[in-house]
Amino acid sequence: MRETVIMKSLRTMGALGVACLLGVSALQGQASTEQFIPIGQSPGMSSTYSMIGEVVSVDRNAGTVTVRLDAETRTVGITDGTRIWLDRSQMQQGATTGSVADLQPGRNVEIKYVDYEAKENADWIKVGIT
Amino acid sequence: MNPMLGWKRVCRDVLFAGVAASIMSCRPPPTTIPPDAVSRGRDLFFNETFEGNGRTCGTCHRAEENFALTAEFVAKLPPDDPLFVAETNPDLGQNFENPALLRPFGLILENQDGFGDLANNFNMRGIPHTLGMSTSIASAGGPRTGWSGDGAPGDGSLRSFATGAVIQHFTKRTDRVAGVDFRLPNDQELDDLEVFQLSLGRQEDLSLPLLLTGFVAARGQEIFIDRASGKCNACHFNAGANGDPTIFGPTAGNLNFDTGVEVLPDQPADLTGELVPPDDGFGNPGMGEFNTPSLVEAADTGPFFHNNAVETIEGAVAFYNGASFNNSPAGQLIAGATGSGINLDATQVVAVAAFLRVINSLDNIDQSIALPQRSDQGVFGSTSQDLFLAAEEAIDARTVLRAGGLHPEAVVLLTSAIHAIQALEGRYRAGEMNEAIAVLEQARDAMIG
Repeated sequence: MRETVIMKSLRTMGALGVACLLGVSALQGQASTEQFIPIGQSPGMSSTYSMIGEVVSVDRNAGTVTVRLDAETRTVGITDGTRIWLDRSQMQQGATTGSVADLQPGRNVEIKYVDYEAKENADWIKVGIT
Repeated sequence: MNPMLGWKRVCRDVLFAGVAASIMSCRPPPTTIPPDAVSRGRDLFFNETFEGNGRTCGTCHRAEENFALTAEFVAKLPPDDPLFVAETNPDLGQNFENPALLRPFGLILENQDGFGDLANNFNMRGIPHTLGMSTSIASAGGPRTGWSGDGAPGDGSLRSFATGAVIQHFTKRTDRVAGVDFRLPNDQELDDLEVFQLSLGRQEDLSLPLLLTGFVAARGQEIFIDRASGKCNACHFNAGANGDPTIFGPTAGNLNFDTGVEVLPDQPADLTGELVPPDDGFGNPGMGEFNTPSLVEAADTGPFFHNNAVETIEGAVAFYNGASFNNSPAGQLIAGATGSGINLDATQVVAVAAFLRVINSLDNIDQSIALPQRSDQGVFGSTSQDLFLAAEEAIDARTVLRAGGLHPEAVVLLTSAIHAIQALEGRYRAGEMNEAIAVLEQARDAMIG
């Protein structure tokens, strides 16, 4: 019993340690209000933490979206944890939840990375709807 | 088990290695406060509605209420106060606030886990004060804002917090369309609001132990610090909001824990029969964790915990004796690290609370003295308002002592100081203010050597 308690403590502390480590290269922004912020207006975001570009293609099998940023293209993973929102602010309508199907070529998107150093997977994607 | 060794083995070995390598990702507080930015931030905080429903930051974070809000204060507000927009704006009549919980308990509706099911997916939370934030937000995991540490969108910083607050609380409709239901703060406004908020309250942590003159408060401080009995100082280092660096590492800063507050039985809001969904705290989905609040400002900013579950500071201390805490992940962590849970007897609970009352009163006195002097720097902008707030701080200093039956001699001195400050409103005289400050200092000297 005592061993179990100590192990629980260790697990708790381990989880805490992981949570702290996430802070090295992950930003813990609140997701719920984020969806209502139009593309490019999220506070504190920059090209380090997110990218804004135009959808080139989606590879559903690979679970990736490729985006054009000026002269370069960048491919980012879409995971089960990636939230996709439709930014309809230009139509003066509220944001709604979207899906991979909304990542249509030519649409403007903002993608926040899960890990801004690795830049591998998307934490959230805002899709501009006009 | 030697408690000290237990903490070191369990906490330092597991956590320190990771945290020590971490880099603080939040911006450090400014070393000097630009007066113009403070002044602009103050105006925004109290007056800017961001073209929304009429609320400002100051609607909920009232200066005279220690930048929080109590049910008693709510009861004094007129029906057309912007706090009550859910009762006056038909577009906000559903799923924006619950007056049945706002009015009696000061609970505000938050959609921390999303806006997809407004009728059922929400949290009811108290309004945290915004004092001393230059000491309480930084952590190795990034800035920790709001009750669960994840209150801000964007980069999660205090600077970004206002953007999320406008979306959550200032909107004209629950559609929440930027440019229609509100406007978002611009970069300059976010900068100024951050500077103003960081200017509020104390700017540095205490260094315990203090040389307290009161027997009960002094004993409470010993229990607070003692790693075998109170164990409070481990997570509330120096009665602040940060973890003990000798346990959690030098950069740990503010930490999140699941302390079991959510499973407390008979919570006031639950007794009403109103829908109060479980609050899963930090993250989405949540981890059940909430961040550690500073305790220096605690005694005069109740009710306590994220859900206003406990009304008194004695009750808040006693919470750590109960099954809800001791069976929680945080309680089990402490039991594992020190060999036992927290089990204080009634006199010890009162002693710890007395300690918290005294350090709160001392902070109130410091703020009361500083406020009139700060007016030249534009913190609150007008001598009359600063005097009013200085008197409010002195009243708080007296109230927290009186309610605990502590330092009657200081209570008498504070009463004199309050009358002296109030007499200056509308006819400020520097010499008379200095006399009031001298009395405040006498009151402080009665509590600390």
